[in-house]
Amino acid sequence: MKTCMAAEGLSIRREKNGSSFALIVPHLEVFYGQALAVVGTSGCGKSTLLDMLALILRPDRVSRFTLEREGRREDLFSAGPSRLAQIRGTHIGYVLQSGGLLSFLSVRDNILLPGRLLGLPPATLARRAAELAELLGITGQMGKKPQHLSGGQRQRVAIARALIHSPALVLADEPTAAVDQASAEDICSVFKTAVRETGAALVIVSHDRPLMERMADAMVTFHVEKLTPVDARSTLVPRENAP
Amino acid sequence: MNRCREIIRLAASDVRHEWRMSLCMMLAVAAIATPLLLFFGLKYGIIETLRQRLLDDPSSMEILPLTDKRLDDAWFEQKRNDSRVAFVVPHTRRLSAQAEFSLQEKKSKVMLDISPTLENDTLLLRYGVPVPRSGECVLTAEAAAKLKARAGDTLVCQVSRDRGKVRVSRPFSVSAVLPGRAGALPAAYIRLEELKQIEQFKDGRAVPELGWPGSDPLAYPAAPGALVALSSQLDAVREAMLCQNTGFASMKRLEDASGDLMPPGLPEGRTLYLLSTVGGMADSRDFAAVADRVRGNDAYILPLNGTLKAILPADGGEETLALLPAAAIGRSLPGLPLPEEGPSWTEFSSKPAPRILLVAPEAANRIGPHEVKAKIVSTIRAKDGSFQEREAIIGLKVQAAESVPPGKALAAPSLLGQLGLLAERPLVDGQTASGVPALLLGRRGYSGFRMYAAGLEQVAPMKAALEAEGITVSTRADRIEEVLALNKYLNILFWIIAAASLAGGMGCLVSNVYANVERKRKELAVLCLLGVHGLRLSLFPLTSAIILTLGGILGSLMLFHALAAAINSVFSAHLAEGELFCRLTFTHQLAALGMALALAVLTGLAASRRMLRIQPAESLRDE
Repeated sequence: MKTCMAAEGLSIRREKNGSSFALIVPHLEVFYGQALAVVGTSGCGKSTLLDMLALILRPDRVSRFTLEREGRREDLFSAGPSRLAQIRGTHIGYVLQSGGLLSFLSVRDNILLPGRLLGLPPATLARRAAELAELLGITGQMGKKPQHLSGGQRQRVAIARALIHSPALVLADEPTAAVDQASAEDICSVFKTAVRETGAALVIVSHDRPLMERMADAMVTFHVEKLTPVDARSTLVPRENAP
Repeated sequence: MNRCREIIRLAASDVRHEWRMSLCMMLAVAAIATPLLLFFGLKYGIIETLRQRLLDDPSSMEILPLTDKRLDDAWFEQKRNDSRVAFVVPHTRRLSAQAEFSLQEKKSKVMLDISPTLENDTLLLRYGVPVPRSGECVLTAEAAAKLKARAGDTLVCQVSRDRGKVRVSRPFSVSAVLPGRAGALPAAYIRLEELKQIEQFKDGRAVPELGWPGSDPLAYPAAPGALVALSSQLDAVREAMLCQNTGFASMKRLEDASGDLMPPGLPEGRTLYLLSTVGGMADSRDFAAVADRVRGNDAYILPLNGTLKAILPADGGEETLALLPAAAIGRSLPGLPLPEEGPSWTEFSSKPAPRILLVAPEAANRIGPHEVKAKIVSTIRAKDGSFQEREAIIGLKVQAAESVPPGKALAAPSLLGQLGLLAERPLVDGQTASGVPALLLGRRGYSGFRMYAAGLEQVAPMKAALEAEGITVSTRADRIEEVLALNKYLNILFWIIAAASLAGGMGCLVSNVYANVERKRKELAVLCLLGVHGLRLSLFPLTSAIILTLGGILGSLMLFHALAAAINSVFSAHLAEGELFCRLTFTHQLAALGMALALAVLTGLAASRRMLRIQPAESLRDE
């Protein structure tokens, strides 16, 4: 399996309301074609990790943080903000907890937006959007505005948007938190299918451990230590080593 | 570039999608901008209207004298060449500038004021009326209404003097009628020279060109000095009597007959007395008085005038000669051929003086043709010590005489006396009513004028310049000053209101855009996740701000035009054709748009500065 994103010795410390929280990632490797689940309880650092992987939060320290694409390896820690934004737009797809769709754009325009921002050929984009819509079962919703969709449909649209520009890495932040169990299963399965089709790496953050155990190829979790009442430290560990 | 276009498109979609919210913001902008535009429109419209009215109304540029200081032709010439003066015409005495006019076929007569006019009359030109030619007049609206006359009609102008005992009339054809705005008084505008004829008649003089009867304004003789040659010396009492009530102030007995002023041909062995006035001139009655004092002494009395020179055209230039008497009054001199017997001064006024100059033969040869137009120059010392020259051009016959010394010219005492009047007033070589060439009294000057400054800004300086000359004038400078002051105060007021409104508008816009950024945090964070970064990201709120502001300002301009039209129609009764109470030029509107745009860009940039500091990670989960 080819490595997509790798991080070693990564750490970040955040202060909030007088309490401090440190996240340490000794080793993390995401592979192309693999779905990695990040599970854990609330406040263990799932979202912080995801933001760092999405390159919108810069870690304090890192010994290795790279993205590999078609044999080229890029150092993500030394890249400047505009290069990071470029990598974000080109190689990463993101599915937000509640979809994160733009209310003023139709479903179609929402799906097409990342491709348009990259200046991809409109014909290719339209074909790809149609394929994705077909795959995700939202063909009938393309002309609607997001507010007229159900929660599940919105997530499907968000998934289509995350995949339209064929990114190397797809990140999903609790994609099923806002839908019922049955829909969650459905969404997860089409999501996985769609990602597999593109050959991208997938990282899903979820608190739904049973669901993740069924669908993820690998799983990581956090080991949280309360050092003092106001000081906590969370370390990323592989699923097998979790307590 | 692609991305920028995409972001602009996104912002536009956002504005469209939230059209209610967008409309609110545009209305907020319009609510602030419209009163500002209206106020500025009113200020500009009112000031422009007042200014245009002042400019359009020749009376705002009019300068009229309040004093009756006598002004001569040289003064008018100087004023005509002053760049601050658009037009000036002399005015005769007001009392003589009135006459009765009537339509030829009707009997009713109307008394009209007569105003003189000349070419380029500002008043007439302003109302598109050509300056009347000879025999034509322009009527004011009031005069035309009273006479029931129209352009093209012929009026009879009747002038009378001596309480109506002497009446003359002449026709004037009405060349045009001025509109009511040009003046409320019943008046007729005729050419200056024709008004001068009317005045001349009213003064009791004849106007030969028109056949109007009256006296001839003959120049009467006068001289500042006299030479009296007597058969014997007078005793002291009689000598003193020479300066008692004779008009002469000083007397000097001469030891011999030499001296520059001494005329040739005086009989030998005479006692000579030189009489002179102080400043003034002695006239024929004064000379008669002197003759009376020296009765029985076989007296020769000669007028002397050292201020006169005759300048005659001659070979290679001019011949300048001093003038001396060629005879005594009513008596020829033994050594000189008096060319023609002149009248005695007491009977002078009915007879013109002989026009003959006696010169030395060499001078006569140089002068060539002996019928010449001589320039007579009188040099007088003014009160302030400077020398003033006045001249007259006179037709003369030159005659050679052996006994005339070089540099001198001899003239009959009556001619010398008439020319002597040049020291006091202008003389004209004209004709009497019966067609005889004669020296006539010229105009001493004019007591009034009608002047127009070249522009509004020239009125005050011209008024100051005239008053420095001692001529008090009436102008509408204060009215002009009022408009300029009103403009200044309205400007201050405007900027105070504008500053308050601008501050309010800016605050409103800034808070709007800030609120928008705050509301759009999540969308902006999503865009950030999609790789939109830095300045491209700030294009989003920038575009919104520009669209909302321009929308607001365009709406405001539309509102302004509607309201301005309403205001202008409400006040239309007080406005002339083409005048608007509330108006903005295209440039003003463009400037308003530009200023609003600048404001929008500034606000948009301020908002995006804040946005660039937002961590997308913070916004994504803030729900």
